[in-house]
Amino acid sequence: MDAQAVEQELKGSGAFSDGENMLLMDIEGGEYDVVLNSRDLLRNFSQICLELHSVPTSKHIEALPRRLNQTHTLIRIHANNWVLWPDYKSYTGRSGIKHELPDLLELTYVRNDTFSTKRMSKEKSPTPMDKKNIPNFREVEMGWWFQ
Amino acid sequence: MISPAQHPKNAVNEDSPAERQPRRLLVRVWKYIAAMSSRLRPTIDKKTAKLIKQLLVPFDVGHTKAKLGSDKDGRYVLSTEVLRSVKRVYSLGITNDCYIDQLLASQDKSVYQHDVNFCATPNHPNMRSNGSSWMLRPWNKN
Repeated sequence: MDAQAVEQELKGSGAFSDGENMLLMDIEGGEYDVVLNSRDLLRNFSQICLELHSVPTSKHIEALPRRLNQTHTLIRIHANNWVLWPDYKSYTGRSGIKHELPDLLELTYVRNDTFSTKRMSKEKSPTPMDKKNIPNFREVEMGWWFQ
Repeated sequence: MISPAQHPKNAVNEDSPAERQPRRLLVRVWKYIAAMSSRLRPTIDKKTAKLIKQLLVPFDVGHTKAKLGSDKDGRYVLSTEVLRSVKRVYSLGITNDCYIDQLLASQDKSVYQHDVNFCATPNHPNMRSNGSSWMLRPWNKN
């Protein structure tokens, strides 16, 4: 997805004057382009909800959260259980391979001017609010993520 | 105007046991293929993984969260405080489930859909699509 085109199009829609916008984004890997190549796009969104694809393999996996963290704060993380392999032991740490990452992550960010204080979340994904993306597959437990 | 829950695209399918059987078989086959492919899965070095985890630590900012969307879609957990003040929603990459777009449109928010794949017919006056669909039909060409 062409980030500049998206930016131009969203600007052309007549918004972005007050910053009261929300972004929902699930574009199968194109989120890296949109986030990293846009200029003023992100600060116009008070809330961003996106799915991060190819987490273990993307070469931009470090750059994207760095960019978002400049203007926003992550308030929710959840691993999509639609993954190529059903062996989630590697994620839970029971197999000892704690450093592997889920393939798909669902993230919710809020802009830094929408709150006054923040502290590290004590919630461990999945929370009761989270729901399995694929009902027949096991949920990806992310307790180890917060250790 | 119909509510999102009444829209046929968001109807909950209650399959009969006979219909569920092939799906279970399909899931088993998929799991088998997935197990085989797990030998080829990519790995990431420990240092990078640790860094990514540090960059993706969630914070508690004192907002309440709400899950929006259909039962088939568990993706959208949002801050209700921020959502209240939102006037426009940009929905990039929508598949065959546009329940949340319709829901937000019914809450008097303008919804702009980009890259419409399947949910090609916005059925609320607050919804707009750019029509740059790469699959099927954009709503403004119907």
